[in-house]
Amino acid sequence: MRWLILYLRSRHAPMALAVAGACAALMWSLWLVTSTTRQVGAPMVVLTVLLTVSALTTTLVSPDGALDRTAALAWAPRRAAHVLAAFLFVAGLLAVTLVTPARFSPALLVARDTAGLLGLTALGATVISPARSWFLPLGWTLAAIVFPGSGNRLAEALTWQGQDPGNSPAMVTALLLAASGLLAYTLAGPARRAMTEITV
Amino acid sequence: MRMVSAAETAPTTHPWAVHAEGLRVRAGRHLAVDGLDLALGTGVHGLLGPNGAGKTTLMRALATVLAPAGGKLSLLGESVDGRADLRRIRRGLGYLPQQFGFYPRFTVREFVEYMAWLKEMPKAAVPGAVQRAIERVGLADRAGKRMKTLSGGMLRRAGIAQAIVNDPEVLLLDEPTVGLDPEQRLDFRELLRDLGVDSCVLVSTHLVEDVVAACTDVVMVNEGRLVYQGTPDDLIARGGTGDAGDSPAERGYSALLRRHRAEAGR
Repeated sequence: MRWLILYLRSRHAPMALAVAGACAALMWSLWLVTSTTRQVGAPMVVLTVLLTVSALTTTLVSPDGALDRTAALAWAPRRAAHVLAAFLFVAGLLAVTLVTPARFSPALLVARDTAGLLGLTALGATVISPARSWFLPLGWTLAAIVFPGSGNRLAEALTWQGQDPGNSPAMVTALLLAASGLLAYTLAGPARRAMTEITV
Repeated sequence: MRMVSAAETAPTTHPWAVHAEGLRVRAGRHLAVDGLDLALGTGVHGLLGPNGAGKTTLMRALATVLAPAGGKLSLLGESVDGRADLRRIRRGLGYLPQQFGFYPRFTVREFVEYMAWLKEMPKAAVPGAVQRAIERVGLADRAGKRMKTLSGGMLRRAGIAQAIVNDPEVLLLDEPTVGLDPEQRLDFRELLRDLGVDSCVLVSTHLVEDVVAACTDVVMVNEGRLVYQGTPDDLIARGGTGDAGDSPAERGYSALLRRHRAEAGR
C-alpha cells in the first residue's frame, strides 16, 4: 500500500482525481440547472468524458524517465493497471449519476468514449510525449461534435465520439484506439523523447 | 543489527562489476560512445573527459537507461542485450543522473523511500535503509522538508541518497559534486571512499582534484573512446612542467588529452 500511495502522489493523482471529479460535478450541475429532462444530451455526455479523461492525463507523466527506467520492479503490469484504473474511475464516476436527477447515459456510449479517448491519450503519451497527449483527443472530439459525420462508414468511424452507441464503425474505432493505447503504454511507457539527451 | 541474506554472502562469480568491449551507444543520432573498452572492479573510479566526450551517455548505458547500439556490455556478470534480465541487474544498481526530476511535494524521506521501493528492496528493510542513506549524505535534519524547498546542493545530496539507498554493487554518479560547497565536497569525498570499499563506484566529474583526492582509479574518455585508465598517482606523473594546469593532476590530464588528440589527428 505504501508503494501505491507514493506512486500515486508522484504522478499527481490526488490533484488529477479531484480535477476530474470537479469537471464531472460542474457538468452535472450545469445540466441540472439548465435543462428540464433527466437524460443528459449526448454532446454533453461526450464532453464530460473528454474533460475527465483529459484531467487524468497528467498521471501518465513520470517525474523522471531515467530513474523510472532503472527501477527493478516490473513496470508493464503496473502501467496496464494504471490505464485500466483510469477507465474504471471515469466510467464509475458517470455511472454514479444514473441514480441522480441528471443521468449521464447510455452506459455503452460512456464506456465506448472513455475507452477510446483514454486509449488515444495513452497512445499520445507513449508516441509523442505525455505533456502533449491531451491535445489530440481534445481537438478530434471537438471537431467530431461540431461536424458529426453520418451516412458513410468512414465518416462515422472518423467522428466516432459523437455517434450513437449502437454504431458499429464508431465502436470499431474506439476499440482499436483503446487496445493500441493500452498495449503501447503498457509495453513502452511514457515517451522518452520528453527528456533531452545530453552528452557531456 | 541487520539481516544478511544468502545472496549477499554468495561468492562473486564475475571478475568485473562493469565490463565493456567495443561498446557503442547512441545519444539521439550521434554515436556518443564509439568502441569503448572498459573493465571496472571494486573501488572508486573517476570518469574524466572534456565536454561532449560521451561521459553522460556512457553513464546512461551503464545504468541500463540506454540500450547499447553495438559491442558487448556486461554488468554484475550479466550480459546486457535485448534478452537480458535487467531487473536483477537493476536491483544492484544505483544511479544519479546529471539532472533528475522529482515530485516537488515529496519530502526528502518520501523521495528516497519511493526510490527504494522502485529498487524492490525488502519491505522491512526500507525505513532503516532510507534513514541511513539520508544520514550518509548529511540531510538528516532536512528529512521532513519538501523537495521543492531544497537548495541546489541539497537536491544533489538527496539524489545521492536515492542512488545509495539499496547499497548498490554498481553505483553511477553523474556530476555529483555540482552545487556542493567546499565543506560538503570534503564530506562527499569521505562518503565516496567509504562506498568504494565494497562496491564499484563510477563518478563522472570535471574536477580533477576530486578524482585525485577520492578515487582509486582514473578513467579518461574522449570522443567516445577510452584514452587512459590508471591510478591518480600515475595521472600526476604524466604531467610535465610545460603542460596546462594549476596542479600536478591537472597537468597530467592536459598532457594525456593533448597526446590523444595528436594521435587522433594523425
